[in-house]
Amino acid sequence: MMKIDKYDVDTRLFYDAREHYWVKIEGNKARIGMSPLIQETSGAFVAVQMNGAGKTFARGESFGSIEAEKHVGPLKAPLSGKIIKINQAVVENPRLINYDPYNEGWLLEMELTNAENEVLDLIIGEENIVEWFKNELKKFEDKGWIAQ
Amino acid sequence: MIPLETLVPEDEKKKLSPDYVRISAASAMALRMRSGRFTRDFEFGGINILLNYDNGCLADCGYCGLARTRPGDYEDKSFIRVEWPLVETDEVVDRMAQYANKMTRLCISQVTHGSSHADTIEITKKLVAKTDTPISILCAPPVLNREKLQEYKDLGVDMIGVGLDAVTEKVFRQHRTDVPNGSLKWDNYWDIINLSREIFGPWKVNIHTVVGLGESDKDMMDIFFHLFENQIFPYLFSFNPEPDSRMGNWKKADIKRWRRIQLIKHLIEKYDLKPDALSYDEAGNLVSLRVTEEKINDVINHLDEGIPFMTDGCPGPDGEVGCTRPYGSYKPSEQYRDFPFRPASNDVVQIRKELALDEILIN
Repeated sequence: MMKIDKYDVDTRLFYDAREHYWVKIEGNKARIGMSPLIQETSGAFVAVQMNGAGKTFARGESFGSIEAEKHVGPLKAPLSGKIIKINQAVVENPRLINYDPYNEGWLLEMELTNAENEVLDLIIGEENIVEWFKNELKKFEDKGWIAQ
Repeated sequence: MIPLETLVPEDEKKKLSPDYVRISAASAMALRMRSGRFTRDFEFGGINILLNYDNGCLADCGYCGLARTRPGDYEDKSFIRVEWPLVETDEVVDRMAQYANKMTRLCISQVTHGSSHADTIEITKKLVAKTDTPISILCAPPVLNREKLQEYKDLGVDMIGVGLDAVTEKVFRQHRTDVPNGSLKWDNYWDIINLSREIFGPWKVNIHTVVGLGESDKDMMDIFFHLFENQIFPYLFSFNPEPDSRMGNWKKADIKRWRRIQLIKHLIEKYDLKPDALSYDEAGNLVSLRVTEEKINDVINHLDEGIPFMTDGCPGPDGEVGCTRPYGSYKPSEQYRDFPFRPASNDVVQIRKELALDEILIN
C-alpha cells in the first residue's frame, strides 16, 4: 500500500481509469473492486445490484448499478468475461465498499475472455498509478466532491 | 465498580443544539464537510440544518423518521431517508461564510422541543453576524407564539415555513394527533400560520403540504386555493416511506397523480386557474382539467420549460428557488419527483408521459 494524500492505494494492482476499479488478475481470473477515491467521492453506498454469476459481459457493458445517498450510476465491466462470483456481503452491506474497498468491499470475480488485449488499457506500475491517482484527486477536488 | 458514564468515550457524549446541529447530507457536501456527489452535476447551495437534542423531537408523527416511537436511538435515526451528520454550529457558520458565493438559502428546522426557540435565536444570531445568505425557519408551532415569531423577523429571518404536512384536519389527526405519543394540534398549526402571515407579510410564509398521506386530490387543490388567496406559498412534498416508521409500509403517491398536482398547483399560482376549472369524482379524485386553448398553450409552454416540476422551496438571493433538497423525497435510483435543477428535454418527455394529460384535459 502506498499513501497518496490520505488514501491507501495498492499499487500492485491494475486500475481501470474510466470507471475507477482496481483489478487483481490471477491467471485468467480477476477480482474487481472500487478505488478508494471513487468510494469516497460517491458518498455512503446504500445499494448494490449486480447481475448473477454465469453471465458474460463485454468490456464497458453494464453489469449492475450502485447507489449512494445522493448518487446512482451503472457498474461497467472493466474487462470482458463471465461473472463467476459476486460478493454477497457487499450486496447485503454496501458500506463495506466505503470501509474497506480493497478487501471486504470487493465486488465480483470474473473469468476473463480477452485479457491479453484489454489489459493493455489498464494502468499498471507504481509510477503510473501514482500519477493517475494524483491527477484524479486534483480533478475531483476541483469538482468539489471531496471534503476539506 | 466503575460508573457506567465514565466508560463512555468523550467524543460520544451528547452534542446538543445550539452548539451542534444536524446537517443534511447534501448540505454537508455543499459545505465540503463530507465527500460525495450528485448523479447529475448542478450548483447546490441550499443548506438545511436541524436542531439536535438527546431526547429528540417530542412529537410522534406516523411518517417521520424522527418520531418518538420509531425504533432506534434518536441519534442514529435517519430523517428524510438519509443520515444527517452532527456538526458544530460554528463550523457550519464559518463554512457558509467561506463558500458565500455558492450559498442560496439557509433553513433552520426546529423540532418540537422546549429549547428550540432559544437555540434558534442563538444560531440565527451567529449566522447573521457572518453571512448574508437569506434565512428561513421551518418552525415547530407548539413551541411558538407571536412574540417569538417577531423575534425571528427582527433578527433578519425573511421566511417562515410551517410543516403542516397533512392538508386536512382529518388526515392531520390521523398521523399527528391521534397517535401513540401524539400531541400536535391542527388549530395550533393554523394559529401559527396566521400569525406568521401577519408578522412576515405576503409571500413570506410557506406551508409544507405532503402528497400521499391519505388526502384526496380535491383536498390538495382546496388548500392550494386557500393559501394562494392568503398570499401564502404551499410547498409540495411527496410522501416517501421512512423505513421502520409507522407508515414505513405505505406506498407513495403514484407518479401520475404527483405530476398532475405539481402542474395544477403551478397553474393556480401563475395563471390564476380557478376552482371551477377542476372537477372531481365522489372520492375527490381529479377527473378533468378544463382550460381555454390559450391556457393549454401555457400548460404546454410550462411543460416544456419544466418549471412546475422543480423543487418548491424558499428563494435564493436571485429570486430562483434557493432550497432545492436533491433526492429529498425519492432515491437516486428513482425518477426525480421534484427536480433540483431545470429538467432536461428528455426529462420533459418522460414527465409528459407520466402526466397523461389527454385523460383529463378538456376545453
